[in-house]
Amino acid sequence: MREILLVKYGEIILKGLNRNKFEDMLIGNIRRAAGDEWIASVKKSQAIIYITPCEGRDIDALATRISKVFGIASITRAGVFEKDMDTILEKGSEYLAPFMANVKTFKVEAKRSDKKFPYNSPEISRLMGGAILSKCHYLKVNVNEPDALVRVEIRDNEAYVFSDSAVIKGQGGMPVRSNGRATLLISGGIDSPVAGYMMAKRGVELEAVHFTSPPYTSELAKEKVVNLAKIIAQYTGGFTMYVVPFTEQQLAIRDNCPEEHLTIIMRRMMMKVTEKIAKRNKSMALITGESLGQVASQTIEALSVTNASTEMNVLRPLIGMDKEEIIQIARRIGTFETSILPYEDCCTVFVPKHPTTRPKIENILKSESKLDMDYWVEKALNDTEWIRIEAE
Amino acid sequence: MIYLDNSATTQIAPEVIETMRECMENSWGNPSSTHAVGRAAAKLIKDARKTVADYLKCLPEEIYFTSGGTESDNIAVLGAANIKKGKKIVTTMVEHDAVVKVMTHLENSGFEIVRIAPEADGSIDPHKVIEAVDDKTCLVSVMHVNNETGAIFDIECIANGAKMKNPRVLVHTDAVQSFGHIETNPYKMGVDMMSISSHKIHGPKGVGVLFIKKGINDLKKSVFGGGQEKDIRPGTENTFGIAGFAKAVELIDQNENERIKSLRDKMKTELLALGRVHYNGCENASDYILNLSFEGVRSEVMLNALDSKGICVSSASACAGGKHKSYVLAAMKAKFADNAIRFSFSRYTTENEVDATIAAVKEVIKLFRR
Repeated sequence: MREILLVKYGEIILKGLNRNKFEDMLIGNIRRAAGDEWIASVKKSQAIIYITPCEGRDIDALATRISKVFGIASITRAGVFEKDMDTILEKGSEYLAPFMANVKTFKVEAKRSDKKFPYNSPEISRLMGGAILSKCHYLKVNVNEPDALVRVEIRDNEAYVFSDSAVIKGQGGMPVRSNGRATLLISGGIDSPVAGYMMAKRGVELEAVHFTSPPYTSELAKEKVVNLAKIIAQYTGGFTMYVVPFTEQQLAIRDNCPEEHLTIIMRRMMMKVTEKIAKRNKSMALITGESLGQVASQTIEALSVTNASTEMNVLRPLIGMDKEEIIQIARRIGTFETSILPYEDCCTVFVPKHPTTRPKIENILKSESKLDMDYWVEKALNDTEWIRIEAE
Repeated sequence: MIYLDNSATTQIAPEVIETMRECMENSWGNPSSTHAVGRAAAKLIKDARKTVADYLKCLPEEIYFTSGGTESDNIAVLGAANIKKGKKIVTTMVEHDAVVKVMTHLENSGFEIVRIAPEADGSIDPHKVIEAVDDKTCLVSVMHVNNETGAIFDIECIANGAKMKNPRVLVHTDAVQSFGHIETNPYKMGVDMMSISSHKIHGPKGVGVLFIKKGINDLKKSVFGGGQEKDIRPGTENTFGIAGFAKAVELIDQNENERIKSLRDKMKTELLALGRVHYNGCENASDYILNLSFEGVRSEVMLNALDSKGICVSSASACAGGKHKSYVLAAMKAKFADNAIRFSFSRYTTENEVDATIAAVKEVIKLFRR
């Protein structure tokens, strides 16, 4: 017996004349995420993408890979059968049995696009219902509120049998690359990987910038961020991460500026460096993991002062979320366990004892004038290296 | 690359590699097989057993090959923890995790564990250990050399004293950090069991020894299988590892100790002279381990900075935010535990390397001390 995956997409369906373009983008992303050695063929028809796996590949593993691609609402495993009623009933009900293990009631809906098929839809439904009941004695039919909805589709060349109890939920969202490019400031913490995930989910193509402060931060801390980026890449596909050594800058800020302004000036400098990298790569916005009020540098005053350091649009998808909500997403997307590994990150190297929580731009600019901002930004850019991130 | 983390593991000796290669090519049989191929492997293990026994000055039948220090410790402690003989076990707060965690396990299953605290200099007062032993005590387990500070514990005194108070008590020592560096004669020390490991003396990983004194044959079993190593540690023998370990034992050169001592002294003197540097340890310490705290430079900063200069050392508190502080330094109530760095030497360590390390440390302090 052959099995295929039926992929339904979400928001794309609302697109008008552009829909074809979005669909092709999605199919391209699915192919990239799964790899050529997993997918034998892809077809689209009536808002459904049909995927045939390569011989010998575990269909569940393929579904899991694909389920991370943005733009997909759901994925269903379906059995493919010869268009012979006895075969469909016998083999089809046998195929469905494992998917019915955790349900109590079901209903069958049949559909035939081949009107020459000798049975009509109500007949197929009734016969299939009987076949399933004879395999799974514990089941009952419930046409109003079934636990599982079984479908039999008679197509031109073959028949598909599947149950919505075999559905894997997709991530939703829009295909990556359908909504421009933006640059994520990524640390080793919980928030920034989630912020990257959320913007990519809206179709943004990511690139990332990470700041390190050796020897205050270790090689392992950098590896941790690379590993976080690789987890994000499972959803977004590969991207480039720029690594900016930032120790001298942090020391210069520490040695020249008032202690209570250290963090905010550091963040402004990071934004300026990231903006330059972004512009070089035709990226259209910056993304941060800031959440209003979470720490001293994320009060509404501090955010305004940080924001004033760049002309670029700054996307802050976590701005209105509680830490607990952010953690929930981090757990779901698989970054949490890596994020909480205890390595120092560069934002926590020099933390003022009493950071200012209501900074005024004039005061910060005055403190900042004590260092040669342009020189340090330029130096950071010159020292920057890049790493290509691919999902593992 | 300058490698001063020999307490973690050592570089494998070229002669050991050669011995193991030869063994993999020619003596790959199962020592339990009775045919020629099996007999050749059995002979190799017999020879290795004799080599280790000769070095320890004990009998070959007292040598049990294991998978390393952790397994030796587990077999020894679990074997001797016999609730019928007494539910009390005396140990210290500064043992290796292999002993610490098995003690916690025993505590959870009804044993009373007495953990002796170290003095401020990291030494263990043997009399405190002896004092804790009573007629309910079934086991005393104290390490020979502490892996973080290099402090040498007076096992001879502990073993004699403990047995005077309770002749039935068994004494185990984890000698992983002393074997090959200072004398480890189990009879002289008066211990019943001793754990040693191969990879700390330029041998391969995955092999070690548990010495069990002749006549002790009522240890509780913790590993079950096909009867190898007199059923103390069943499982097909790691012949390559055992051959390599024996070669590493042959290569031990006690004459090196003087040289290592002078390197350690030099580093200790020159670094302490920098000021605001603190020695974590006692006078009676292994020549192979030096633990210093550099006030004003956190452990991980020193570690990362030296790493970037190609110098490998280790920090006692390897993790950020002090989440995983060294329990050894904590038990000593060391004031600068967050600033501790362990340098550990081997016979491959040269004076040039020590000089370069001293210079690098000075530079790091100059740049990053606050």
